[in-house]
Amino acid sequence: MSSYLLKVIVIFVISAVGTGVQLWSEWPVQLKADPAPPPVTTLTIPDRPDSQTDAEAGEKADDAAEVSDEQDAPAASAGTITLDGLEIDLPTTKALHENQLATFIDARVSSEFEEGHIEGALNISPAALEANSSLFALDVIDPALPIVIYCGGGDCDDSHRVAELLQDLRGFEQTHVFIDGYQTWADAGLPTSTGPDPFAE
Amino acid sequence: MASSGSMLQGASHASKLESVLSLLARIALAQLFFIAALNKITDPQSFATAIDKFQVPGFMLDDNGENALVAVSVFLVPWLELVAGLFLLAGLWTRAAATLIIVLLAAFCGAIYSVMVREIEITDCGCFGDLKGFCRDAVGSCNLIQNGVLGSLGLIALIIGGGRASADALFDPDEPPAGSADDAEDVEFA
Repeated sequence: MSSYLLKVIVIFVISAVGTGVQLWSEWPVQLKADPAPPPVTTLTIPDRPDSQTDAEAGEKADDAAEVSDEQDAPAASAGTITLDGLEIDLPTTKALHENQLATFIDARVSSEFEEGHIEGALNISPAALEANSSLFALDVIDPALPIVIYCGGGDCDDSHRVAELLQDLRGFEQTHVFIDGYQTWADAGLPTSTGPDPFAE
Repeated sequence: MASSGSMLQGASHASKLESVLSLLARIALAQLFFIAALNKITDPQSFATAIDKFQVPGFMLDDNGENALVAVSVFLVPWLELVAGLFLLAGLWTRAAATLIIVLLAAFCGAIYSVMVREIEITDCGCFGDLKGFCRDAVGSCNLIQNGVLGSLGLIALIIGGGRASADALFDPDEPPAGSADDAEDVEFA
């Protein structure tokens, strides 16, 4: 039995040596805490002539039959939009977009961006941001507005990475991820455009 | 010693059925632990984030991303998985390796159970690094069952030992002398 324990300990020690080698080769090792969620914000929908009031919502819903849930969505009701947490859903994102209350960032690669993106979005991929943390496109971002980042939807992680990088590199706090992604946006018949990002380098 | 059952038997004295069972269990466990370990070793940050999400007291990163227990676990756990997996695959010191694997699985189960009790929703358990295992929903009973299945594979290796197709069978000092009573039971599987 003592030889059994000894074997357990030897296997443990070999693992510890492997750990040590990895730490030595990768030193200095710096882990990051999960980024703090952005602060909860409530935005008031500005009273513009073309802005959508509750009364108009019904008429407009006919235009976009697929997206008929404005009345139900708490995010878009009562003239305010509440952003709570890193990830936001389609109704909230839609409300931000149609009231121009956020800067939109497409985290996908430029070829996908050119094929179609949310209208008015900038194209900032995690790779581009890692290569150059002072991208010209970043200067276009209005620091007073929240930032909505999206990628293809589903399992894609690029929008989360861009959100993290924007927080780490540029100190943007109001970064949100439109979790459903571009495909859901396009399928819902919401405004999209094609072509390259004019601010891309 | 030889008459007290397989638990204390030398590896070369396992029956054929036991040897095959042990080999299959060891191969299955080892390859899963390889995948899990390599994913974690190549991406320590993801594993650290995953550990942090479990919010186990003492195992949480502070704002600077520092916590000694998390830092040690992030690098040591995957190496334990890898090294114990290698020993298990080779069938070298099989029972010791199986013990470590079972201890690791028990620790994972403890963490999973604790988030279930505290109703913390974790979408990505980090069990296999970035890869999703068999459980695609939030961390919960599926992960417990998954680990239970893996644990029972570990138990097979622990109880039977390496069997004949193992390094242990080549040079196991615990091996009982040839011609002991256990050889008789091999006949029915021969």
